[in-house]
Amino acid sequence: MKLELKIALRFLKYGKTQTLFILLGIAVGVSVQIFLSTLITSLQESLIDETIGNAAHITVKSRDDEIGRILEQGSQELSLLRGNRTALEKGLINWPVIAEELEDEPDITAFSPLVQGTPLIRSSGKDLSVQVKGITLSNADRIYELTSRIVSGEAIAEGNQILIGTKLSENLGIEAGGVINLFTAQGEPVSFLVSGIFDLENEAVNSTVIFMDLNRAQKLFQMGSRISAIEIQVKDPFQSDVIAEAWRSRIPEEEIIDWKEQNRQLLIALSSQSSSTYTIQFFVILAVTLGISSVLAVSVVQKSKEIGILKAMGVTKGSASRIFLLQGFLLGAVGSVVGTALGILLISLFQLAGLGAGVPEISYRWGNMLLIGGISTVSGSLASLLPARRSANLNPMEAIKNG
Amino acid sequence: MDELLIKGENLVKEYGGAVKTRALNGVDLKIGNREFSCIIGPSGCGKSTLLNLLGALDRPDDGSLQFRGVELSAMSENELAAFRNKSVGFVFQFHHLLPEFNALENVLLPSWIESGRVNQNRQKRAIELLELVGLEGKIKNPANNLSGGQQQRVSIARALINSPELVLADEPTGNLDSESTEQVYELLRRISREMGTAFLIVTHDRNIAQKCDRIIEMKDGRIISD
Ligand SMILES: Nc1ncnc2c1ncn2[C@@H]1O[C@H](COP(=O)(O)OP(=O)(O)OP(=O)(O)O)[C@@H](O)[C@H]1O
Ligand SMILES: [Mg+2]
Repeated sequence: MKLELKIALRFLKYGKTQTLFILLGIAVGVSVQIFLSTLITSLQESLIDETIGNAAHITVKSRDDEIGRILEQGSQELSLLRGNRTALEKGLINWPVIAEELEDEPDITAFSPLVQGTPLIRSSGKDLSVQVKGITLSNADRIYELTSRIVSGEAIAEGNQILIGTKLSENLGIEAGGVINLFTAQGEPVSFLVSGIFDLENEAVNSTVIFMDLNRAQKLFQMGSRISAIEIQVKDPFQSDVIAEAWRSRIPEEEIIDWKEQNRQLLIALSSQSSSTYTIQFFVILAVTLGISSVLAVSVVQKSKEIGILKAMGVTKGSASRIFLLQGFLLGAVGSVVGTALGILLISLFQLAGLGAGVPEISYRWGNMLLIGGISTVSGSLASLLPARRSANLNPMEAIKNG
Repeated sequence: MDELLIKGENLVKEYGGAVKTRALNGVDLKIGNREFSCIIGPSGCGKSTLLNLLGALDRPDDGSLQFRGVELSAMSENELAAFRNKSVGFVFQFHHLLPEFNALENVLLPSWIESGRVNQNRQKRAIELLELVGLEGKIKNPANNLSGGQQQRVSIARALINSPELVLADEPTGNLDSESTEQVYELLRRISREMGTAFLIVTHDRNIAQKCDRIIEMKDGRIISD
């Protein structure tokens, strides 16, 4: 093997220009693949992160129209029918039971009971609709990481103390320590003390969401012991549809929504983007392989005299073919290493030039790069199979006869 | 008589597809240890073909060929490769050095092929051989930077590095001037004497042939005088 390697290296070194060109070709091919796949996966990751990073993967809600259920039960709650309560006609009553079951589920990393309502804030003569999320901070933290995202004030959501977003704080001109009046459909305005300002890095959330204590929200929206929903995060977000499906059969009476279902269009777009990336990668690899193959095929012809001499001196068929297999492998391997460096350089330049404005953060997938480099190296070796066979079967006499 | 090195009987070699050319038409040949012999004959009479068969670069279509009593046709491809590597040395009409390697490396190639690695003793021997052929100053020269005669001498050193028992030389001085030709033959003779290597040399030069121990004359694929 050592001799074959030595000869392979000498052959490559002797045909410098040829070697450099094919190396450049492989490197460009590999760098394009790395550039493309890194950019696309980063983009997809950030899109998915934006979608589900600080949001529920699965939401359990009441399916039934509350009115229907009350009528059915014919209970004393009939009185609830009176008045304008459309926002409150849904609610989970048996949620503590569900919560207990969720607790034992290994796939579920966090869940948070939620009371939701949309009161108004009157600000400089205009009515502003906001979204109140009634939560228990310790639970909600595991989904929203609220405590660590407080930019001013303190992370307290108890009693009349609430948390508002940076954008809302800006719009209302209210800092931590200020007071907000919420108008619900149920009655008089209620005053709350802003204890902290959060930044969840999402424009919509920062401008409309108010976090409040769960019990306080229940009282505010007159929901009794009911809650609006249970928000759930799971270990693998991409398994959420499977997990949701299992829960649908366990609690068929409630409505279970998973993020994949809600973001079907996005996921279809992402997966078709991925498949077009794979298609491009496939053809780049094919082109690289054909390039290596043709260069080596030409090389076998160019070196037929040398191969003939080597065989006359006792080089075996196997060795003669290994000389070319090694060349293919070396070209693929060196091209991959150079190409990976080139790809990373390209990404850095791309970021420096500010072209990646839409991609907030590049995450390098080293495993993926290794795979791309590995595939290119293997293709290089495969590309050399045919030339190697020709080298093995070359008749030394033919080469020697013709001077 | 010396020990028998090669014994060929009724060697036949044909070329071509539909229209066959008989390059060798029943050749019987014995070559002994340490023999210094020549093959002469007109162009196309089968001299190179015979040499290629003897050196196991090609297989005969018929007949038997033995090296030290071992039938070559019974050997596997890899055994033949080892035979070419250790038992015979080739010197070709055209020099056939590898341009990718320098003079010393070219000489060492057969030993690398044999052992797969650099061997200090062989390295020393290669330098000695290069000195023997008068190239002590050109050891590190790339093969391409040597003159025709110098390349020829490197290929002689290369043929000798693995101490073969037989060196086959096909018109080794074919493109050298008469003075260089004379020098090369003197060199081959000396090596034969000093190392006890048998030589079988194809030549067109009758003057040179006269100086050999034995002259084998061929015509139309046969040996007509020996
Ligand atoms: N590869 C081949 N294919 C077809 N015919 C061949 C081949 N090699 C040799 N021959 C034929 O075999 C015959 C003998 O050729 P060979 O090369 O042995 O001659 P030679 O004696 O070495 O001649 P020269 O002195 O010109 O080198 C010739 O008629 C030649 O045309
Ligand atoms: Mg000839």
